[in-house]
Amino acid sequence: MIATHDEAIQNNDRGFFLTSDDPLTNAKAKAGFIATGTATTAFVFVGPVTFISNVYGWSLNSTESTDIPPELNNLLNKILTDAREENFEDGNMSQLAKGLIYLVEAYGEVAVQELARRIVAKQIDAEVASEVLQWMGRINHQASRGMRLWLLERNLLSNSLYIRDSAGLGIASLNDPAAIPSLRSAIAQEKNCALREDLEQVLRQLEGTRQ
Amino acid sequence: MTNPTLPNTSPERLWHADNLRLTAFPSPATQFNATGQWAQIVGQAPDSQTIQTSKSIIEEIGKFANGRLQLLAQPVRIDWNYGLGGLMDQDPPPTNSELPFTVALRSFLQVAERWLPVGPSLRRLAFGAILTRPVQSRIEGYREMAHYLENVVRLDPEGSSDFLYQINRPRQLTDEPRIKINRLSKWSVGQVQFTQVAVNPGIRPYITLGDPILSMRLELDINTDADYHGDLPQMHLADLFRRLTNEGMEIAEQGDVP
Repeated sequence: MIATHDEAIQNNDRGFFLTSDDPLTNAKAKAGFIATGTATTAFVFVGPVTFISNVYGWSLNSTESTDIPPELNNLLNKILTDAREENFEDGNMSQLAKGLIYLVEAYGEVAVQELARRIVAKQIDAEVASEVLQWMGRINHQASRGMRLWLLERNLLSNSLYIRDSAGLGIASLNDPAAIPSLRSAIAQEKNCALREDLEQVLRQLEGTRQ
Repeated sequence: MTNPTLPNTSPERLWHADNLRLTAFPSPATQFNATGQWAQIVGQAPDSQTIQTSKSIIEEIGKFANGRLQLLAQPVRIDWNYGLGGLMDQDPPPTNSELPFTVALRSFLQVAERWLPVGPSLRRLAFGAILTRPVQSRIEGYREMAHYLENVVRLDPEGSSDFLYQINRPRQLTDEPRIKINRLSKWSVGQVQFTQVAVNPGIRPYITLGDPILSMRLELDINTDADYHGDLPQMHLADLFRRLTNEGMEIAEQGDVP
């Protein structure tokens, strides 16, 4: 049975979906089996199980690289483009926030990895990136928690004051003491007094949580 | 516990390495520039280098130890892949029997042991492998696999098909660094047929290259747990990676042992 991604997402609460996008083919393509002028590819025929793929890799503990599903890419493009026209107000759930929640729940860590890549590569407008970071701390999704924390910690060192501030807010929302070393390091390097004080307040909060 | 039914050293039971992978997840504080790392580790220039500045992706590829070595660096992860990829556009393509797992692993460990001490601080480290062993038929493949899975699954080679088994057998490392590792393995039998697809119009759309290859397939993903807090100790990274590969070797030799 080959199901569309949407059907599979609806029908399978583990997030697995069936696709002709065979992992072996992907692995071989990734390993560079592409020749100039012709493409060499491989097909696996033995049974439908060989066509099972999964946006999270094999399991939540897998480190296998997974391709960004095209529909995730398209959705992300739309959400981030629309967000440029949006006015973000404290206390209100923005359309961007709703979109991010959907993407993280549907695609898990893969969605966060793609967001991380775009933010680190500065492909996202700073104001939108700041809103994204704040929501990375608020979303309640255990499987992507580690990656969201990584993204927030990484952006404590951003060149943009705006983004560093939002990373701090995101970490405060996530309230994970694992961020304490990164936070201490960021405070030691922070030259903006107001932001340094804010980060120190977040640090005290996390230390309180740890106790 | 060694499975007594498996004569591990006999050549016909050797696994072939389709792909070996080292994946490093950098610390968030790391600003790592991978440019030139391939040459530094291998001692010669790579065959190709691709830098996608807008995506912060660097890829370097070149021939290495009868195979091909790829470095793919992205902000969230750095992958070293080693296998026969890129050599398969030869006509006929070489069979994967040219890269026995143990031989390939020895070469790959040299790369890992040179790179990890000079690489970035890491939050997480993984050893991945795609291993295959040619078989004549699906039934023969299932019979072979039954030996490896006899502690956990009762296979019916003649009366079943579409079998896929995957599991995580996590372990806690008892000495430094004291961390949990995930030991994922996935077992199946698959058939690969290489085809050449013409890009130019007016040419026969595709031709098959060689005979189909039927093989038993084991995918390994041995990794430090994502819940480990803080950076992995830099001075132990090479040792840690060797231990991950040892765990992979154990599974490849003994099968899935609860």
